[in-house]
Order: sequence, then C-alpha cells, then structure tokens
Amino acid sequence: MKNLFSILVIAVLCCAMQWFLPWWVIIFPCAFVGFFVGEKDGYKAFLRGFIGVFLVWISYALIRSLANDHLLANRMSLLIFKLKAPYLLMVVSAIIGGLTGGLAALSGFYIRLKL
Amino acid sequence: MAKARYTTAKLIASAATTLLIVIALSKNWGDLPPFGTLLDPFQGCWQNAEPKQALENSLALPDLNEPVKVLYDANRSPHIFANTEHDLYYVQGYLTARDRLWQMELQTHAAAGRVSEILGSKAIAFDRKQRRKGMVLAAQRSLTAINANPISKNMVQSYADGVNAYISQLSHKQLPLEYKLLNYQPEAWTTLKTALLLKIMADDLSGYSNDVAYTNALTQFGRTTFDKMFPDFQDYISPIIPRGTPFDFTGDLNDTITPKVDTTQFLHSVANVILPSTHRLYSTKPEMPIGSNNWAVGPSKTKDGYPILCGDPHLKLSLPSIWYEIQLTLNGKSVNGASLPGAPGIIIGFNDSCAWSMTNAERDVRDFYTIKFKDATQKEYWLDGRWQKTTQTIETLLVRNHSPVYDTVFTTQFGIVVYDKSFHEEGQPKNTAVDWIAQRASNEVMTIYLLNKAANYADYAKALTWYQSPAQNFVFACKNKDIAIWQQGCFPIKFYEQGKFIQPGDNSKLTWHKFIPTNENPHILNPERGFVSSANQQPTDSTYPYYYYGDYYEYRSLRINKVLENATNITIEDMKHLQHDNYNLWVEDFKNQLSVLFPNQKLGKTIFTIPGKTAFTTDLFTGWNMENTAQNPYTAFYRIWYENLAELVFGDEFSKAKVRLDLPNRDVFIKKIMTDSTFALTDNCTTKQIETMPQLVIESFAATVKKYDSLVQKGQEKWADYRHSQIGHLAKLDAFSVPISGDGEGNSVNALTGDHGPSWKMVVELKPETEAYGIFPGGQSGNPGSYYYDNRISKWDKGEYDRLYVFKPTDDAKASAIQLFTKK
Repeated sequence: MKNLFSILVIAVLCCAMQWFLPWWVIIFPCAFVGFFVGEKDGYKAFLRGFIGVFLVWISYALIRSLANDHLLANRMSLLIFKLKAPYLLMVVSAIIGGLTGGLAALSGFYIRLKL
Repeated sequence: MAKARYTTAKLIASAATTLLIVIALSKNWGDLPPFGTLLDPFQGCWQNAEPKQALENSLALPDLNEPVKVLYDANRSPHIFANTEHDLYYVQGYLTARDRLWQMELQTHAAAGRVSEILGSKAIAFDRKQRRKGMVLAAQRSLTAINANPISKNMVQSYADGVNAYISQLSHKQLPLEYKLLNYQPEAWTTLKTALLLKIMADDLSGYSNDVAYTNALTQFGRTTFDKMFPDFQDYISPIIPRGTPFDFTGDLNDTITPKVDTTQFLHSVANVILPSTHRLYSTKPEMPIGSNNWAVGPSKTKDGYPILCGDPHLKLSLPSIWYEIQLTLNGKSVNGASLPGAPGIIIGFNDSCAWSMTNAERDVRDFYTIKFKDATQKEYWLDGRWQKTTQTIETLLVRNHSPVYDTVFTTQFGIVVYDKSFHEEGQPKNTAVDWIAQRASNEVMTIYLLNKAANYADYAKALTWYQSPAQNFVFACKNKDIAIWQQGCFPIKFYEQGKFIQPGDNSKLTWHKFIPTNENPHILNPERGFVSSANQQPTDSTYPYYYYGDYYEYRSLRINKVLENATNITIEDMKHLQHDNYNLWVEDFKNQLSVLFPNQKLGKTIFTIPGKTAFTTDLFTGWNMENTAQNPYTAFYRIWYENLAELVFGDEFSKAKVRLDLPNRDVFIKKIMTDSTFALTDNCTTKQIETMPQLVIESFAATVKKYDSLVQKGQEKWADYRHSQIGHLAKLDAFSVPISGDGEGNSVNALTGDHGPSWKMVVELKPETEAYGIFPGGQSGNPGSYYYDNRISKWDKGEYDRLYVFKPTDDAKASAIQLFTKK
C-alpha cells in the first residue's frame, strides 16, 4: 500500500511540475516522498523514486511516440544509437528519469534518517 | 555516533550523486547533447514528436489589423487570406517561423559569420571568412536601401514582427529539435536577418570567382593553351538570346573612365603572391554544382495555345528544405509558389496573370586585387603613386565555451582585404582585396514585391529594374500570351579581360566605374522560335556589345533547346518529362569524338574490348540509349572513363604546378580539346616521348575497366549507387538526412548529383484557369519529428508532381486544416 501510494504521489507531482518546469524538478517530489514515507531500508525509497519517475516518463514518451508513428523516435534513436529502436530510446529516457528520481528519493530518505 | 556519521556519509554520497547526475545530464559534453533535458518527455525531444494533425484552430496574435484566414492543403502548405499587406507578410513570417525557425536562424547566422556562437571554436575560420567577404556590410547596405522605400520597409518589418510574434510565445517544449540537441536558444528576428538571407543566396550563387585559377593557368601554360581551356565564346553554344538576334544598342563603350588595360602585363607580379598548395586542389569531376533550368513556351508551340512556364532551380538539397511553399492572397489577388524561409513574398511562382522563375547568370562579378602595404601595420597601401590610408574595423566573434575572438579587418578602395598576414588559405593570394557586386546597396525585396503583383510584361520589366544581385535569368510568361527572358543583375562595364585575372591594387583605374543599364542587359520578348530558355549557359553570342565572361555550362541548354525547337503541341505532361529528362548528351558527344579519334574502326570490337566482369546487357557503344536512369550500369562507366582521361591529360601538369588550377568545363573538353591534336597538355610532361589523345583514351579505358570491375564485385556499378545522392540535414546529421535513388546526372536536364539537384520543380500553364504543378524534395515542416519533414521526397525522386491549387477563401471543403488568426 505504502509502495503504491508513494509511486502514485511521485507520478502525479512529477507530471504536474514537469509540465512547466525543467526535467530535474523530479528530484523534489522524489526527495519529498523519500523523506515523509518512512522506511527502514534505503533501497525501498530508491525503488519508489525510480519506478515512479520511470513509469511516468516511459508512459508519456510512449503516448507521444505512438501518436507520431515513431517518426521522431526512429530518427533520434538513429542519431543516438545508430539504429532504429524507438522503444530502446523510451527505455533509456525512462532510466535517466528513474535513476535521478531514485537517487533523489534515497537522499530524502537519508535526510530524514539524519534528522 | 559511528552510525550517525555513517548516515551523514550516505546522505552526502546520495545527494552529491543526484546533483552530479542532474548537472551532467543538463549540459553539453563536446558534441553530445544534454541527455536529461533532451530525453525528458515533458520538455525534451519527445515534444517534437508531432502528431499528423497538430494545428490549432484559432490563434490570437498581437499587431494584426484584421482577421486572417489560413487554409492548408494536403501537403500542409498554407494559403493565407489577408486584407492588408502588413497582415499578409506578418502571418507569412509567423507561419514560416513556426515551421522553419531553426533553419532561418542558422542560415542567417552563417551569413553573418556567427556560427561559432553555436558550434564553438571549430567554426572560427568559417566565421572570419564570412566577415571578410563583407557579408554583414553587404546586408547592412541593402537593408538601408530596403528601408528607403516604404513598401519594402513595411514588407520586411511586418515579416519580422510575425516571426517575433512566434518566437516570443515559444516555450521550451516547443523549441525546434535542433535547439534542444545543440542546447541553445533562438534570438529575436530582425530585418537585417532578411537582408543577410538574401546575401547568403548571393554568396551561394555569385560568391566565387576564377581569378586565381585563371591567373595560374595563364602563367603556367601560356595564352594559346589558356584560351583553349577557358574560351570567352564557343561556336557550339545555344545562348539564351538566340544567335543572330540584333542588339539595338552599341553599349557605353567609348566612355573615358573605363581604361583599356592589358591586365596580363601584371600577370607575373600577381602570380608571385599566390600561395602554393601542398595537396591536390583540382577535381576531375567537373560537374556544375549549382545550376538551374527555366523555360517558357509560347502559344504557337503548345497544344492548348496558352503559354507554359517551367522552372527548376538546382541548389544544394538539404533538410529542412530550402523552399517553403505558400499562397499569399491579398484582397482576392493571389500569388503562389516557393518562398525562402527568412524573406517575405514569393521568389519563384505565379499569380493570377503571370508566372516567373530564375536561373543563375554565372557571370563573374567578383574581382581580386593584390594590395601592397607600406608595413606590417597595414595602415597604408600604395595607390595611384602614393601611400593611402586603409580603414580598420575590428570584428568581434563570440565563441561558445571560449573567450571572444577579435579580427582586425582592413578596407581599401577595392574592397575588404580578405587575405592578409593574419588570414590566409592554401592556394590563395597574399594581401588581396576582393570587390564583389553583392556588397553594393540593392533592394531585391522590391523586385519580389513587384513580381508578385505583376500583371503584364511591363510590370515584370519594371520589377527587374530593382534587381542587382545575385544576377539571374528571369523567365516570364503571361496570360496575354507574352513570353520573355531577361538576364538581370548589376554588371560592371568591363574592358577586355578585366577581372579575369588577379589585378594589382595600386591603380584606381582598375576598379569598377560604371554599370550596364538594365535595358542593355540581354533580354528578349516573344522570340520567333516560340520559346525562351536558360540553363546557366552563355547568355549571348559574341555580337553582344559589352565584354563579359563567366563560368558557363552548356550541355543542359543544348539539350533543352534541341527538344523545344523540335516540339509542337506541347502539353503540361511534355514539360514535366523535359524537366525529368535524363538524356546524356555528353556521352553522345564523347562517343562521337571517339569515332573521330579512331576512324573506320568498330569501337566495341577492335579498340575497346568490353570488360569481362561487366554488368552490361548490351554493347557499351551501341546498346545503351544514353538515359541516366537510376539502375543503368553505363553512366558510371562513362563517368569514370571521363575522369580517368581528364586525370591523364591534366593531372601531370597540375600536380607539377602545385597551385590552384581548374579543369576546363566538360563541354569544352569533349567538344574541343579531345580532338585538338595541338593541345599542349595532352602530352604527359613527365615522360620523354610524346603522348597523343588516342593513346590516353586507350590508357584511361584500361584503368576504367579495372575500377569498374571492382565496382561490379561490390555490386555498386548501378548509377544511383555510384552517384550516392542524399538530401542532407543542415547540421550534417546523417540520422536526419534522407538518401535518394532516382534518375538523373549533373549534366542532364534532370541535374541530380550527390548533393545538388532540382530543389523546386514547377510547371505552370497560363490558361484562363491557371493549371500549375510543383514539388520539392522535402516537406513543409523543418521538424525531423514531423510527418511533413520529408513527405514529398519519394514523389520528387520518381519525377512526380503535386497539383498547386489556388485556393479561394471559401474553399474550406478542399482544405486539410483551417486556421483563423485574430487580433490579440
């Protein structure tokens, strides 16, 4: 329950903030949840941050890309990976967001531990 | 205690890692983009994944006088309906920016020598060259001329306001993809940028000259050989003004200012200042990179009895496309066609009464003068018998991730000193000022404005009086059945061979003093032969009263004129076929010359035995129909043969000379030099015996067979594979480029090369209800993530067209989308 709730909060806050703000604002909701949703182990906080952002990013990238017949994703993946792999680009995007979110959540968790 | 410390360490580690990742993924690393910012689905590149239908129904814009309606056709080309000129060009600016902002800014940054601001220190040399060419000075002077006329001033200002209306409401998520990749922001558009855009076109079309190569050729090989390589006139040409057409003026030839000077007397002194080159500077691929075709057939030659006008400018093929298709309707009067992103109005197109297109004039309007400075400060130079002052300006280059670079540039009476002690290039002369016609103030925007509104020949002629640079051949046809062509530009009156070679910059008599009046530029209305045409060939025969020369290419014009002379009952389909004509006239000539060199012999059987591993299905000499189709295996063979032969003839002397030299054009080489047994360079200068052309032909054939066999083994002998064409993205990103594999060759009418070709093709029949067709290799959108980025390429590659419809404001049913712009 706690897990689902945390992920949901992260997802909703990320969507709302990212609509207007640069990508790195994801660290605030993640750290916030890592701080307030108490946990004994850091890895759980990390996973919540990671999954929350990962899911948001991959879903939104997928929605954008499907409506575009993957035209952009094909070209961008060709540019970055030298091969047409739109889904790989989505996963890589989501990992970037997830990793940042996870680390932010972990930091929030340690701040609380410290206090 | 220990546990608390442990927690602190973990906190610091995790927080620091988070921060580091955020910073690292938000900035560029060399050529790598900021991956976090870029791959963010909310603000990054995923936002550029444009759905096919993504147009808002209505938009409120500041500065609009009245509501403006825009209908879109199936290709998403806008058709704008406005009630004031301001609104018309304002919305044109807005829509062009929406679709092409990054390209507009990049091209004008390139013109202004500001690429280092985006790409960093690797672009410094390019930027310095642009500044030293006088691009900014030229644009500033032209802007002054544009602003001096209230019509053109309003035109460029309205356009700029429209572009800025788009930029000012642009959020990060809507930024064109390239800004996100290169991580920078667009700046405000200015009217100067429109002037800069026109100057970069002038640079592309007239910013070259043969002064250095000609000086070297004359010095190295002497007058006889030079004249054979670079003749002023040839007997086989089919000029724009038909041979024998009388000129009803004598030319301003007896003026007292223009001196008659033999410029070759300075040859050795100027040749001495040319820097040698350590590597090969010549190419045996003498294809005209930039060229164009246009023609109009009169009512006597067409099936329906109405004129048909055709135009296909050949430019570097790029994505986003160089052209933006648009219809501009002002109070019910329409003009349709191709516009240049960054300039208001329509450059090539048609209105309710007439149609026009352009090809490049190819005349030399850029002259080199060597400057003698008093000392290393370059503050004074020798002119007319005394030391005179140069003027100095300091160019500031802002360089990304680097401190600014300052370049001191000197100006003389002959123009800006391009090459001096702080700026030199291999093979170019030292201390040289360059005068270029594009640096003179001119207002081409007025030409565009007046042509867009022209109703008849008189209007067209009046529009051209404003036009100075880059000189073009303007073809014209009208519903009243007039057809015409005019080579228009500002051409200095030159004495014999003035500016053909580098000149000494110590005599003010050698500058340009007077210019040919517009009505004495080559032009013709309704010629007897029933058509007008141009394809970058010599404009006139030798009876034209003024001296001129240029770098002309004749094969396309020879083919076009031959087809048009023989044609009757011409239809739109015939004209489309002619634009896509792939007949290889130079191979026909080449084979004829082989018959001259080897008389009474069967070429294929006795002299040139056909190679063993060929993909030829029929005889090399008699079997091929000489069509440069994509899949034929012959074009590549002849092309390699031509290059090998040219290398044998010129390579020895050129390599020995170690200076910049040019090969003669393909038509000169094939039609004249191949069968000229007295041509001095045919002999290999590195051997004792005398080589002759037949020997070199045989030798080059053997080398060709060898190279061709290796192509066959790799499966690359088909013409399209060998030519290897692609439409490249402006930032040279292969992932955003599109390979093309259609028919065509650089010297055929369908002049497709590796990276140049018909950049816009248009056929217009001027009947009561205009019937027009057009296409360009790209799409309306500059966004690589848009369906409309490259949607027209495959059709273009096959030689097909789209119908260009003139929409009425009530044609909602025909439109694929409708937008209404209102005042904010």
